[in-house]
Amino acid sequence: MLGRVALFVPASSPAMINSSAAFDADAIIFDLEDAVAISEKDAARELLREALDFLSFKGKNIIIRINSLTTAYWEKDIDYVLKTSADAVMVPKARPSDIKTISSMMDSMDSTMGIVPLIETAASVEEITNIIGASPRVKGILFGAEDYTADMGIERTKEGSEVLYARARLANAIHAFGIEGLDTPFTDTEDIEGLRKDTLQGKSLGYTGKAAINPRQVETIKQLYTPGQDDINYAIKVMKAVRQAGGKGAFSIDGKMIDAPIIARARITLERARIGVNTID
Amino acid sequence: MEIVKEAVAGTLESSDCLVMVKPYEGLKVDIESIVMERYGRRIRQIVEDVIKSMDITSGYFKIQDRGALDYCLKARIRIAIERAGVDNVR
Repeated sequence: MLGRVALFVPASSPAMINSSAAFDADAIIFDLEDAVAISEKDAARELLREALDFLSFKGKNIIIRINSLTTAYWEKDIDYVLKTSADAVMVPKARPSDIKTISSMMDSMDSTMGIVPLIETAASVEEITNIIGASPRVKGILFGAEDYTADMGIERTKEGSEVLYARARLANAIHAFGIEGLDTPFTDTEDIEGLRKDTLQGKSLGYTGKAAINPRQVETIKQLYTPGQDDINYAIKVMKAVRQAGGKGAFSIDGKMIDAPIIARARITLERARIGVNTID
Repeated sequence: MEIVKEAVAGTLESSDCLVMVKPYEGLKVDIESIVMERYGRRIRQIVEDVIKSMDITSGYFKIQDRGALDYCLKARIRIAIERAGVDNVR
């Protein structure tokens, strides 16, 4: 649902909404929250609803970030969002009770939408298992380091050591629950080398993708989260060998013993490369 | 239903439009567009369709279009009307 790169687009900007379909992101996160002035919340909801009816976002997952359930705007947001064809709702500053509330509303409308909690407070990091476990509709999460560091009262740096605990804690949780996890956006849109380093850091911790806040970040993130050709070739070789072994247990490739973790990694590589195991000749 | 007070929605940025509505005796629509020659008729049709769908019988509508697509025009007109204080419009 979230893919390798999810691009934030303000729901208040027709120009950005129009162009968002053309960018190579796996998902678009239309934002009704921080990117929209309070005086424009009504207009953004209406604009987005019409846009999702009118424009084609084929091949992209559509996620809508509503306002926090601690504000006066979320109920109108969700009322609009549940009438759209969006794939999921992103819930900022998520708490377990928020996820249950949104999930119940979706249940009552027979909606098939998913929920993407945005984890951006110290409390929500500590409660991550309760947040993910609050609804089977939770298919992925996003870590928001800017609000998290503000909540912690600590300085946010490009190097990011101050968010390492939270970042790693959430990455572990997504794998424990078998869901997707988007790493926090890199906010300096001019610094592509910094973006590269930050993306690789998140990937090394276990994130399955990263949020982008500018279209120029999309290509770099997508490339880094897509397996290289050598990795894909090796994964294909492993899966072919698995098939040939026919469940006979351990075997070797090029003199190296192949066991369950290596097979699991090969499957993940092919998944990320969008190659179906059954399509391998 | 009538427009009871002046209201605006939208912007003059590219791909957007600024819609101003205010009370008026009867219905009047003025359109300025950077693509008037090519799409003027289409824009007028959209404006009139939205006005009709919201049962508006009187009001002045000024549309300053900067290349807005159909969905944007519809959304901006609808919100301008809602902001103008018309009840039960949807």
